[in-house]
Amino acid sequence: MIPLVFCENRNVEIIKEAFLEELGFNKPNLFKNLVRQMKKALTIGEPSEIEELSLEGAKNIADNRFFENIDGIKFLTHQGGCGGTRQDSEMLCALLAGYLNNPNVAGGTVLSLGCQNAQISLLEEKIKDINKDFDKPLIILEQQQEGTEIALLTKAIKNTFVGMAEANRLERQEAPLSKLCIGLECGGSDGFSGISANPAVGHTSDLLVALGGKTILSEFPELCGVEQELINRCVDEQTANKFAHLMKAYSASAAAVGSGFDMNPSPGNIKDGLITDAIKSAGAAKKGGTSAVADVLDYGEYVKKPGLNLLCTPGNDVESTTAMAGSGANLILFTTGLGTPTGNPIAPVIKISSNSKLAQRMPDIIDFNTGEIITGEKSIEETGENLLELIIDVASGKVTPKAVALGQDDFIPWKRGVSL
Amino acid sequence: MALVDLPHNEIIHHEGSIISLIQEVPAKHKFTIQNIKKGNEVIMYGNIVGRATEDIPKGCVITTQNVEHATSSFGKKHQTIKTSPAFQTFLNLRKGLFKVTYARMVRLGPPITGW
Repeated sequence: MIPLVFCENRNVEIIKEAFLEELGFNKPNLFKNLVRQMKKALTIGEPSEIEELSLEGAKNIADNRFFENIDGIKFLTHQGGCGGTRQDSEMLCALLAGYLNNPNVAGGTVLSLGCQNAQISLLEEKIKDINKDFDKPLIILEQQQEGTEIALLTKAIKNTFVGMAEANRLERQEAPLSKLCIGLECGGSDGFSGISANPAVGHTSDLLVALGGKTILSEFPELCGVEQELINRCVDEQTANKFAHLMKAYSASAAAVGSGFDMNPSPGNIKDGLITDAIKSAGAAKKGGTSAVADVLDYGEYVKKPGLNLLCTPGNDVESTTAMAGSGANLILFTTGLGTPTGNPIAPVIKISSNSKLAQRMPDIIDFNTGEIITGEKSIEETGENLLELIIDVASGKVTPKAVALGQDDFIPWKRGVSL
Repeated sequence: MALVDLPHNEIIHHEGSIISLIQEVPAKHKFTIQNIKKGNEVIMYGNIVGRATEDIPKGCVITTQNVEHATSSFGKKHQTIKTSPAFQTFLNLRKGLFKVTYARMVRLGPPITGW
């Protein structure tokens, strides 16, 4: 369920509330019970009891999905679609078209207001650009055509329900590993990321590339300093020139607003050893392994070629993972040294720690630990192979990554231009 | 890079040279393996990753105080790097394993997300 413009966010939220619990997709909120107990303590005049209250007694709700073959219904909201540059609306429509085309998505419902920059026709054009044979159930409704909000919501809910019943008839089918398209992400990096988690992910990427799969390396401000190496790895001059052009244009746009790629490292990065953007980049680029660069994509472009692809996105983790899923990633590998909860609504995100301390401290968000590379107990190659095994299990539905179980559905489209 | 917290005066043997740490180096942080003069480039993995803003002696931690961001310039594709030679060998060596393990099929869909 996606809005074409922020004016429809509230309608999306209303539909979300109607569907989630009734269809058995809601995540339990353990803290509701805690609030209830605190209210009681205050009412009976014993506020000192609050300190003693615990989360125990809060129940996990059993999986009682109405549509067994559907793993979830996701409600994306965003702040774009109107009021900015036409290029931003076009980029948003390309991104949303990519979400609808992503193999993890069985169908979609799109809510339009009517008068906004991001027109339905623009979205339809972008879908056709990506896949001229697009044939998933797609419901598109426009509020200014439907009249009242109740009329719009009723129609949206009925049509979506019927579409989901149709999608529920799909069953898992065997597919070769070459069908995998894996996003390569890092966030909350530390000094170890570049020597443990990132090269391990790089090795996994090399394995997938050799198997005919697709991988996507993004976050262009974090490839600052390794450009020439990546240029030399490009399959041809045209691909190399596109990368150089995108990097220079991006860097210039940062300089135009008085900033620069050198401002990228966060206080957390610096405290843990990544003191310049170029140092951070040298480690970040390791996620791309040693494969040739098969293609370079601008934001919103959908992945076409097997092999390692470079995708122009910001270094902001959520803007980047949002873009990778929109460019076709059906799974995302995310390395971290400090621990970040990032997830994606349609692509499972596997969280990989660069050090064992983090894996022990935040086991609720970390899926895979590469800290044994630091202690010398495991090799990068062995760790990369184990990671590929985990990818296969997650793609097969046998293992649920932590970010999926937590319902961490982060979605932030990139607003590249100014507001008008 | 220090893999564990290294104390002041620790002796490090690195590719035939001996480095004596002139200060404590916390884990995850990098130290210089040679003297770097103010204004000179700092190289990591063969790439320029910074410039010294003061003279940095051998065995000293690099920080935002003594190093600033710097990179090499880039332009046209002027060389073709033969990618993944090690990996090609690996594939050949481990072909048997690949047949058993990775020739497996993965079950994709129904969609991880339904709608």
